[in-house]
Amino acid sequence: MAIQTFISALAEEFQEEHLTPAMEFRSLDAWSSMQALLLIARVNEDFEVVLSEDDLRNCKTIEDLFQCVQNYQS
Amino acid sequence: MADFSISGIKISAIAAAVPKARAETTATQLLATEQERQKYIKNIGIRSRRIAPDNVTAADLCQLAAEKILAELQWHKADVQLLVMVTQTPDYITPCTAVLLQDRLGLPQSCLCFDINLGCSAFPYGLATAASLLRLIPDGKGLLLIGDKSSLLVSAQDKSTGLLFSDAGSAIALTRADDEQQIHFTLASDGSGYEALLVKGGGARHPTTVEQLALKKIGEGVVRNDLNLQMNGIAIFNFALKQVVPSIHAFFARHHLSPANLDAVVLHQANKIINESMRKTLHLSKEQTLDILSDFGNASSASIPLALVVGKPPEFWQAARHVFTCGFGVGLSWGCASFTLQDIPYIPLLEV
Repeated sequence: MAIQTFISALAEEFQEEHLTPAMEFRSLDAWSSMQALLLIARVNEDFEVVLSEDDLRNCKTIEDLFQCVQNYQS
Repeated sequence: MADFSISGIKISAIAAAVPKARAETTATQLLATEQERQKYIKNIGIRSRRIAPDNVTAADLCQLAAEKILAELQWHKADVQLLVMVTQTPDYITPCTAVLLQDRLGLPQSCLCFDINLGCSAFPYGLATAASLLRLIPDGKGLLLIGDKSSLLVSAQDKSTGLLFSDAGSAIALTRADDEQQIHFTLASDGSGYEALLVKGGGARHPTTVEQLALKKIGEGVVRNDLNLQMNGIAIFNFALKQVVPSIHAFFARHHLSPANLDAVVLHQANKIINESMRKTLHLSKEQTLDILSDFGNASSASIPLALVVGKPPEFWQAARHVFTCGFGVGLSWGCASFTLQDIPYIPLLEV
């Protein structure tokens, strides 16, 4: 999977157009406890990975999330 | 995983009762802006909930549903030999609510009564317990009462729980049937996840103290005390996808159930994000999967019977219907039950 595919899915879910790999997802305006659930739902639907609370805690940037999902997939 | 089937017992009626009073999500102060409120409604799926007044308990709502069933089925009260109540909000710490209801419903003293303390998994657990006991009581009839007054447990200043739960009670009539009637079950537990949904204080582990009543700020928009319900939504969501969904797949395989052959699928109504994720992962259609979140929120233990009562029109009850149900939540505890509904009176929702 290309990181761009991952970012596109997140951009749609967060309704933020200009996401970059280095962005810290918790700093996004849209971030909230509800947004965390939406993120988990979207990643599950598109990439068949269920992100845990620890996964989210250990990730800072969008690239971290991408790596985390890739680790599950490999 | 406890997997088993019970033959010779059937559901004869289902009734549900809710308070008339609604709490509208658009009117909440827990979410600061109209935009946030609309986003909540869109994603969590809950537009309004039912909240019981101070003088109405879960037992009262269940009693109303039970009285309606007794009248509708024209049962002789003397024939009711079993009353199982599933609730997390009993009238008293002790004695248990089922015994109080034996008297209030005018049931005979020969009636076996007890409570089960379970939440969102109440329906499959209660049905399995009541049906297996009733199997041993010749000519007996049974009542399974399931309800919660969750509004009692949540903090009005906690946006994670304060806009989610609804109060409701239900009653399910059980009678003996021929042995061809089977109810299939799978029941499971994972106590390691107990903190995901927890009322920490007030029990023997942390007996009530004045300090427990102090409100604490846990996070943005989350203020509660130690006697309030705390919830970890991410942990529940993970549980639903990683533990509950595989159990449902296994249940379908074991009983050769195909979603296409089910007339109704009733998942516990947790929230729209969780329920939609489960529905899509299980390849269930929107039409067959009941969804009452918008008007009734998460009715905790009563969500499954309530969903059947309000989610299905009178025609549904006029033919034999294959139903699959799955309850999951606090414990962590979860279970599935599948059965056929046949010759069941349509009992519209009761409101008090």
